[in-house]
Amino acid sequence: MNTVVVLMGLLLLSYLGSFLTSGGKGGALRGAGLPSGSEFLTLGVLAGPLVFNAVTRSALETFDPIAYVGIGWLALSSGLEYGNVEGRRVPFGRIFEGILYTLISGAAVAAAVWFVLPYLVKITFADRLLLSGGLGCVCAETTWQAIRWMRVRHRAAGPATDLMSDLAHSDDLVPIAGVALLFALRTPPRAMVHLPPVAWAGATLVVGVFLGILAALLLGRDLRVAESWGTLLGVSLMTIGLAARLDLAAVTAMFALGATIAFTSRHRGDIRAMVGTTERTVLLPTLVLAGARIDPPSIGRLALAIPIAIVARVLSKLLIGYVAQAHRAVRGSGVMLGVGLLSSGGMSVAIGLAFALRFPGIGDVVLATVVASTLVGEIAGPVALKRVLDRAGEVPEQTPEPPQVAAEDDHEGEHDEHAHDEHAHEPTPEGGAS
Amino acid sequence: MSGGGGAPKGVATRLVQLLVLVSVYALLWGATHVARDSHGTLDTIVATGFLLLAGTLASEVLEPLGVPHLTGYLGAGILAGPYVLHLIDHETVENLSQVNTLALALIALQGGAELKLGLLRSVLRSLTYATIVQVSFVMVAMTAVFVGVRPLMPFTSGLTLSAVFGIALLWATLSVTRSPSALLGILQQTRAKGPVATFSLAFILSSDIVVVVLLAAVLSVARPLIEPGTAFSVADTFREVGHELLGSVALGTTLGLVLAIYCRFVGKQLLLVFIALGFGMSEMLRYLRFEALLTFMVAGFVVTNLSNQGEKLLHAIEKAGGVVFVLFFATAGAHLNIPLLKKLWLVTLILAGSRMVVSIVAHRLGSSLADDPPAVKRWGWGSLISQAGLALGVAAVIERSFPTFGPPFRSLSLATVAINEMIGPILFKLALDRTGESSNAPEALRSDDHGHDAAERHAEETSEESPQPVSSETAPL
Repeated sequence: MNTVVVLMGLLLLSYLGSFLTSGGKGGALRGAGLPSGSEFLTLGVLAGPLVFNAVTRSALETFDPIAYVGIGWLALSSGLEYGNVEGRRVPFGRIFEGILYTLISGAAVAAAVWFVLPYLVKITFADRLLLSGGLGCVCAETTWQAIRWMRVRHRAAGPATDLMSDLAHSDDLVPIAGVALLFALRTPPRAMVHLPPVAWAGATLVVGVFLGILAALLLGRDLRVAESWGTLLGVSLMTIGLAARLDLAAVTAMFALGATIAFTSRHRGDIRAMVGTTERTVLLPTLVLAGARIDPPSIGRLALAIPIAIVARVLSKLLIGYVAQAHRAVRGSGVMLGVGLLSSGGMSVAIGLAFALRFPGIGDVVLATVVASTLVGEIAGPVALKRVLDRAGEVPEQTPEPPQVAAEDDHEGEHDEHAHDEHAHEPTPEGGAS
Repeated sequence: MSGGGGAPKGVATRLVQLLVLVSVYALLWGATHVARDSHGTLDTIVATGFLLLAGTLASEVLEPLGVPHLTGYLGAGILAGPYVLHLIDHETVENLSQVNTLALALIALQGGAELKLGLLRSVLRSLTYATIVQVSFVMVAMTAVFVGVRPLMPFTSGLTLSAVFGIALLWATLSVTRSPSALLGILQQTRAKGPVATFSLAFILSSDIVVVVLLAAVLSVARPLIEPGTAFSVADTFREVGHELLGSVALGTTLGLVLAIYCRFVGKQLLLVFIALGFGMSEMLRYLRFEALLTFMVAGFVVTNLSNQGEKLLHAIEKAGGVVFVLFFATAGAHLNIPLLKKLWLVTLILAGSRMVVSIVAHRLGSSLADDPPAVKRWGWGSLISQAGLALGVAAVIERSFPTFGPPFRSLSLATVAINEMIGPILFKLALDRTGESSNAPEALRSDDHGHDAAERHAEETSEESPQPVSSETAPL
């Protein structure tokens, strides 16, 4: 298929995604579609070599820069939102708990693959480390998009919803840090200096943090939206490009960039709102590109790692579900809580795609696993989550119309206006949008 | 990036911007030294981000000196480009040209949308005289200059006088081209309003159409002179021009109507629509061999003049404009071939200098004949010096049409355009500042609605020895 046609298709998806974010007057389209965007992953799989082969591998490689930018942008959004739910700070205890749960599920998946895979496939030590680590990273988190979907689609609200939101908004840190380490394990092939892996992983963070500080300095006292887009785009592209040039994890560098901006800029609320409006616009084409890269013949027998990782993920999430029932809000949810935590989405797919771009072969297995895991999570996760929230009495019986809940979405009109008038924002004491 | 309407920035802000600018250069320098090998298309990402950031910062840092933002963008690109610091290599610069497809589409769309019928009517007389005088005067004078300096150009040695004359005609056509992108970039920065801005907008944008026709005609005339034995066919020439012009206008009109309907009934996510148009439509236009600049300009013109959606379209383009102009000119800066400029400096200087003088004289003549307002007579030439993408496009067409002398001809064009690209925006901004048409110009400097600039008014007031306060009618148009 002609690359221009593919590009037009991706733009069309972005266009569609933008409507899913803004949703027109009354947010008619908000909450539409599946929580993890699995339909777009499936669309990619159908278009790719696995089914119709409408998009060849070489055509896909033309879009590698777009894939890098998409992944990076999602990581930026994630970094900006880290530990923050719709303008509310997640308590430190919940952040710690979220990190702990991700460590458990990530470690369980990595360990299962590490120990079981050598019995099934001949694999080198380095590949085994990379594969088990990569699968640990992509199978660790629970996507916050699923919980937001419950809020928007089913108007869920209450302590149990907040708990799930808080945990899901805190669990990106572990996979993000893991990616930086795993990418650094293989010395960048073009590097003229030789450093230990930890130093390369540190360099990944330094690039993001340094450029984040520069961005915060540039955004300065007044936030003019038109200028801020230039700054934000410039800094982001530079971060992604520098990380890619040094063969470091752009996803980690961008997460660090977002987290640094959120930590240091007084306009964090406005910036979150700006980036939040673009999230679906970027996510949908990225999901399609990820789906289209799935090519089982290129994976070979390493595909056996996929069921191992998924089973380990399910079991670890069930365990976490039981542990989390210590919270009164979700007490007595039983197995449903663990199943409800199975949804994975944008960030995991982004990490999987980053692996596929950096380590063809092993990375393709990681990507295929995350796609499979997302599809499994999509089938079981939202249904179970709804049951948990239903049981907690947090889902109203009648849901006539999806409300406009997400604060990050609600700034769009405001920003259009600001862009028009170039009005400076006065920061609120909490750093939110004025 | 910032319009002229923003609040002035203090010394501390400028210092921070300078610090960040230096840091960004240092970071990329460090990265290119840690990983020396090119990373193919992925380097385009870092180059895009870097040029966006460095261009914006350079323009901001240089702003207190009165330098136009475009010059800052160009400067940042030149410094980082393959000929100075080599932070961005040749391959990446070429890859970035794809981004320019989008930039050019937006610039042309904006140009067309700015051309309101009322505006054109108000300057129709000036426009007619300026076009006739500029084209004829520049064509004749620059042909003569080129023939005169041929001993300085090795690629003309051994050619007959008629062949040199043919090449000189092509050079003169190149000299007629102006830069809509530089014009719009400066107008966006200064938010200028007044007779000079109006005249420049109408003249520069309409000159694109003139260049398309002129180039086709001159190519046909020059070919028999350069390649004896080739037949001159008026019918073929105008069939081709007709195909290009009529096709572009027809498609542009259709596109404009579709855009107007979209703006009216949907009006959302115009940026994504622009990106789709910039890449998809440009590809289609290339296939159809239509003129992209003209098509998009006509589309913008149709939206503005045949619907009430012009302001919405312009607002959406301006939102993206900051990023687009920075990238376009910073990339152009990185493209500038400094060693070539050094090599051809004498002939380049003569050709660029004479083009400037000829354009100014032609403007004065045309302006007198049209009885333009004093400000236009005096400063209207400011926008005529810049050359950029359009001139390079014309040079590329000539290179393709005449492979024997095309490459050195194009190199000479590149060097000359480089000078005009650097000097032109400065001169145009100077003109707008001097006439007081820039939004940040002091009230006392603003030209009145009869086009009298500050100096004129001062002279009149002094001669009458009766100082008059500046009336409220002297507000900019």
